[in-house]
Amino acid sequence: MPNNKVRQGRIYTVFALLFIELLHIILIEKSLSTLLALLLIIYTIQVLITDNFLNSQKNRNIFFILDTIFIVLIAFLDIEIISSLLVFIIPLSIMNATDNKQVSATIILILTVFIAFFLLNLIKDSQLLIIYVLSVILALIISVRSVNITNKTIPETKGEKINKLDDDLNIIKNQLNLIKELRDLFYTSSNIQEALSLFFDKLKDAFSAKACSMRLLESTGVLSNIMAQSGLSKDYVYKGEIDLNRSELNREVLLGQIIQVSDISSSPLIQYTKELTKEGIKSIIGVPILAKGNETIGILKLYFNSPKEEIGEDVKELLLCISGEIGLLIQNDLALKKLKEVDREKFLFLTTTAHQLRSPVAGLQSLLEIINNGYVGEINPKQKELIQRGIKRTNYMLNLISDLVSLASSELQVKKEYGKVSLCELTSDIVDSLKERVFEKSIDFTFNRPKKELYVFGNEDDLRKAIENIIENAVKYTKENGVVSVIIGEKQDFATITVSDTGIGIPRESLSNLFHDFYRSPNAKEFAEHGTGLGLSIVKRIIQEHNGRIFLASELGKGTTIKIFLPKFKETGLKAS
Amino acid sequence: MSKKVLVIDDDKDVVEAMRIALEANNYEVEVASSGREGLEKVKTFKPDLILLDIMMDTITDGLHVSYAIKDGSDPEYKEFANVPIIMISSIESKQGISIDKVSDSDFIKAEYFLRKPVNPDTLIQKVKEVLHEN
Repeated sequence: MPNNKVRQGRIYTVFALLFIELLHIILIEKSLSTLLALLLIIYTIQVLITDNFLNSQKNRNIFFILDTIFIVLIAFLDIEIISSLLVFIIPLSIMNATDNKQVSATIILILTVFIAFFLLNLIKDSQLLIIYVLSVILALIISVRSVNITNKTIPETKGEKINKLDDDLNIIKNQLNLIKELRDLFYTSSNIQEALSLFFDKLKDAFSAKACSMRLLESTGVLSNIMAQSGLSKDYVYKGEIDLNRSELNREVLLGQIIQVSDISSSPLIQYTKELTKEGIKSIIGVPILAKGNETIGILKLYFNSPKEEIGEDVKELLLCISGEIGLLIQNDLALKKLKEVDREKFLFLTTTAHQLRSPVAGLQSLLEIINNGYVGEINPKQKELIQRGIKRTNYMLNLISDLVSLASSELQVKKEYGKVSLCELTSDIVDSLKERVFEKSIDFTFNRPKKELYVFGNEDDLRKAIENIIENAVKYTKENGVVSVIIGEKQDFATITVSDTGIGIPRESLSNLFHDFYRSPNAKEFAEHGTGLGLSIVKRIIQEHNGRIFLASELGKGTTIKIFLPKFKETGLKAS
Repeated sequence: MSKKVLVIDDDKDVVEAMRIALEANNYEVEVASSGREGLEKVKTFKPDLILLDIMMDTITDGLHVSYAIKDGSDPEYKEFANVPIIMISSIESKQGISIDKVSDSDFIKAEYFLRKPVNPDTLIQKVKEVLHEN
């Protein structure tokens, strides 16, 4: 939309052109009726301008098409009419133009048509042609200048005022929305650089800026390369390093102030004036990115392609608010990276330790099994019994190590990936893997799942571990010919798994200790010699990490029912805290 | 003619146990105690089957061995790309490496997986299955 200043300039253009035409009519045609027609045209144009008619892109497009049709029609119908109507077309075409390029293009088009007509002998009066050519050149000069008029404003009508206020309000609304969007972006994106670039697209638009960029202050005291940007060319992004001795702008901003350079061409604060000019940038606002304790950790810059008026305190405050938010996110990101690094080291340590612990036991067990299976000669029954007892102990040791590592690694929060997990499929897998044991103990096993797959939000490995543990326990502590059932269902926002058995049950006094590390109830020890006592405590941790709940009901000697609630997967992505 | 099995593992006791079980079933056994030695012996011994540990000199030593053999980009190992590999390791999914889902990983490249310690009978059964001797 051409702004008021530009429009005002164009009105002058129109009047200048009409004046030339007036001269033409008085001097050459000496016709009063044409003069009257012209006055009517002036009036029409004025109405069009003041009625905001040309404010909408649609109307401008219609006008542009009509103009073009007009020119062609007139050219083919009657050359003489050009003398009175072309004057109407030139100003309108110019008015429709939104920048210098369009103005020049329109005028050059019309000029070409004239010269072509002249060459084709369609315009016979050379005096007439000279006047047209002159008028067009004059129009070109005036209109190009008028588009550049920036200093004068004209009084606005009420409609325009309301429109303008409305525009201003929208701009402020967009700017305020930015802060919310910034937060949203970071919750949904794992890559801070990508998220910032996306955000800068919006920031740039909200401040009608040409571009936007950000640098961080490194621990060595130099500014990093552009970390994220929007709207800058590759050439500019890789133009070179910032030398703080030569760039007063950056130096000042790093001291914690917003600095505005309204016109870079005349400012001594800038290091890369040539590159900025090449980029079409006329003014810059530099905003410090502040971390906790008001320490500057970077610089946010907005670039504009026209000289910019001094920004107000409210805008400054908003910019500081946005940069503060960015600062916070960058600090969080750094902290998270450090945590991940620590976690990775812990993970490597755990993996290596587990391997070191398991290796000797695994070696021992391999040797015992070779003897037990008779590969190195017959052994007598007593020897066999003792060796088998040894194998049992090594088995227990291996399970204990697995569980311990599992417990320790469940505390490593950061490395875990959460996503959509098919609960029915997962449980079905686990049930399949236990078939053999169920068959060995002749257990009456039922598995009920809904036809439609249920999705939960979680870490598949962890959930497998938890569900496997519970079903395994049910099978383990149920006597031969007992009953075990696994039922998957849903309740509101939760998926549920209910595992019931007719096993040994849990004594009332043991219930409170059940989820504690290494605890095994006396009857469990009696029933199954081996168990590490870590299973349920691992299960509890996993379910808690998934924002789920676990419920247990048991009667000694009759059986146990465990019910797990897990939050369903929502497409928007529910995060486990 | 007996089939040749190359055991790559740095645990002498585990190797000894596997050797006894394999030889008792008429396999010709050769042993390497590191990834590097294993890769050398693949070329000279030309095994029909490889039993491969993962954690040896480094945490991922075994994975590099299987990658070098199976990838096909190294001309030295091109002729061995089809030699089946059974990975035997105590690494398990509980520690965050889902190695049992062999087909999921391009990097692991081994066709079979057994959890350590392997019962000798289970090992022999698996070896026979892989070499189609059942």
